Amino acid sequence: MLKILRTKRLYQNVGLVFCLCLLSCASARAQEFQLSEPQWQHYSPFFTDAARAELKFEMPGASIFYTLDGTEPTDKSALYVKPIQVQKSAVLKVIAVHPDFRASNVVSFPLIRIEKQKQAKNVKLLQPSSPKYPGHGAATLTDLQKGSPGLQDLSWLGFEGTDAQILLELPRKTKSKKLTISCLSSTGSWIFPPKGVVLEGSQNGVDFSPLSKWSPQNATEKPADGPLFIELPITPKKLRWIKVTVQNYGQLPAWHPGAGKAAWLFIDEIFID
Amino acid sequence: MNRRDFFNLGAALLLGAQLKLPEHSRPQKQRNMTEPIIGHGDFRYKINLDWGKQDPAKYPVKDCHELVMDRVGRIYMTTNDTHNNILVFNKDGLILNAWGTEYPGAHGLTLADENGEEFLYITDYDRHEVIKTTLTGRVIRVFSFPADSGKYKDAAEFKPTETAIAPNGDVFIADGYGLDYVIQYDANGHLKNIFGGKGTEPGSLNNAHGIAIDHRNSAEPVLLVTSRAANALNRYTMDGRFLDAIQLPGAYICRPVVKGDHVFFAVLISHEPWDSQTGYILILDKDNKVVSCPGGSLPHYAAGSTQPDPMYQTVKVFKHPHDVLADNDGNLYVSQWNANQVYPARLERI
Repeated sequence: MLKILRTKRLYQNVGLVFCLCLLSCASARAQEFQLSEPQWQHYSPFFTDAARAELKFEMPGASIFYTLDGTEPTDKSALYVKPIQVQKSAVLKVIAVHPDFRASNVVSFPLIRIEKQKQAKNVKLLQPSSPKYPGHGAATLTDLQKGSPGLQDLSWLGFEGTDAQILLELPRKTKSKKLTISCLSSTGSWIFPPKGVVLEGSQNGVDFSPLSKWSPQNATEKPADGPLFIELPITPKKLRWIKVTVQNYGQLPAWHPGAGKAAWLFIDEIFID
Repeated sequence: MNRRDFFNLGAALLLGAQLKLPEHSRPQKQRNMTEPIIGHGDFRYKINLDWGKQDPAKYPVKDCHELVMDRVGRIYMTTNDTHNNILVFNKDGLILNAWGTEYPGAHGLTLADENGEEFLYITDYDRHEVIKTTLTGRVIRVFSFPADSGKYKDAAEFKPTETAIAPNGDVFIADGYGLDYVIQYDANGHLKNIFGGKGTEPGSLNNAHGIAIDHRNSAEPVLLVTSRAANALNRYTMDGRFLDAIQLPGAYICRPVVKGDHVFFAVLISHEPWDSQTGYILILDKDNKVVSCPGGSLPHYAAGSTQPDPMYQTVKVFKHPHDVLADNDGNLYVSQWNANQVYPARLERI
C-alpha cells in the first residue's frame, strides 16, 4: 500500500516537473524576444524598366523570407539569397526568422512601375515648400526618388502647416486613369497624412473644374506611421492640366506632445497611370 | 519523492528526450528551447529584463536615464520622476536607497572619487544646472549656465546632459540638449574653457549628449564626446583641441562608458524618428573598432574602410537604451528612456 501511494505521488511529480520544464524553457524564455524588421540596402519603390530590391539582416543564424504575390511571408516562403528583380508592379513582403527568436513583423514595400510617357512634362509649385525641406524644387515630385526615412536627403518636399498646391502639365495624347501622391506619416516627427486632396482639371490651363477628391477614412484616429500612397481617379481623357491641392493636417491633435502646433506635410512623388 | 528520485527522474526525462529526438530530426519546438543570446565575439550576453524591476507604487520611474557604480558595488540611477530622482540598487537589483525630489530633469550621472571620497554629479536639463552631491544626496555645489563664456543669452539655453571629472578636479559639462558646448570648470567652479558648439563642421557637435575621459592611454588622456544625432564620437585633447571623429553610422550613441580596454554605449535608436524604438548596445575595442552590438547587427568593416557599415537593431530587446554600466564581472546594466517606465535590465556575459 505504501509503495503504491509513493508511486502515485511520483507520477504526479513527474507531471509537474515536466510542465514546469515546458513552461520555463519553451514559452517564458525563447519566445520572449522578437526580431526587428529586415533592412533595405538599396530600394526605391518607383521604377520604369525593372526594380531591384536588396535586403539585409546581418544576424548570425537569421534568414529573410519573402513573397511577391501579396500573401504574408512565413518561414516556408521563398528564402532571400540575392537581390530581387521584378518587371511588373508588385508588393514585396518580407520577414526575418531565427530559431531562438520570434519572427519579425512583416514589412511590405510596394514596387511601382511608372510609365515614363504618361508623366507630367512640367511641374510647378503654386505654394512654396518650407525652406527647411526644399528638396530640389518642383522636380522633386517627378524624379522617381523615394525620400529616405531619415528625411535628410533632398527627395522630400516638406510643408509646415501649409497646403501643397501643384500644377502638372500632362503630355498630349495619353490616356490617364489615376494620379498617385506618395507621402509620409511619421507622427513622432510631427509629420501627418493630408487632411484631404482635391484634383482639378483643365484643357487650357486657365479654367479648372473639379475632377476628384480624397479624404482619410478614419480622420479622427491616430494615423499609422509609414509611407502613404494616395490614389485619385482621373476621368476626362483630353486633360492637359491638373491642379493638385494636398491639404495639410493642420494643428497637431490633443494626444500629440506638440498639440496645437502646426503639422508637417511631406510629399516625395506624384505620378500618373 | 526524495531528492535522489527527483534527480533520477530528471535524468530519465532528459535521456528519453534525447533518445526520441536525435539532433538532425528535432522539430522546431525543441530548438526554441535555446536561450536567446545577443552580442558578438567575446561580448555575448544572456538577457535579464527583470533585473531591476520594482513596485511602481513604491519606487516610480519615468525615463531611466543613467547608471553609475560606487566602489562597494552599489548602483545609482537617475530618473526624472521627482518621487525618487536617484534609485540605489545592489547587484541583485534590490533597492538599497531612494532619494532626490528636486531634480525634474535628472539626466546625466557621473561618479567622481575626490581625495578618497565619492561624489555624484547630476545634470538637470530642466533646472538648467549641474548639481554635485554626496552619495546620499547632500548638495555640495551647483553649476549654473556659463554666463562668463559670452555664448549664452540666459540659463534657459543651457540644458546639460552629462559631466566628466578629471583627476585634477576639473569638471567638463556637455550641454547636449542646449547649445552643444563642452564647458570646462576648475574644481572651484571657475570657467576655464568652452569648445565644441552646435554645427556640422569638424569639431562641432550635434546633440553633445555624453562625455567621458578616455584614460586607456594613461600617458595621454583624451576627451570623448558623443555627437549623438551625427552618429559620431568626437575626440578632443584635455584642453579642447579637436582630434578626430569616429563615425558610427546607425548608432545614436548616448554616452561613452570607458571600462578596461573597451568603450560601451547605449545606442538610443538606429534611425529617426526619435521614438522609433530601434536601440541596441555598442562596444568599441582599444582601437575604437566596433566589436559587438548586443541587440544590433553584426559589426562589419568593408575592406580598407575605417568606419563600419551602417548598424541597426536586429532584436527588440530594448526600445530606447539610454545608458549602460559595465561591472567588474563583465555584466552590463541598461537603463532606458521612453520605454513605458521600465526598470533597468541586466545583460549577463557568457
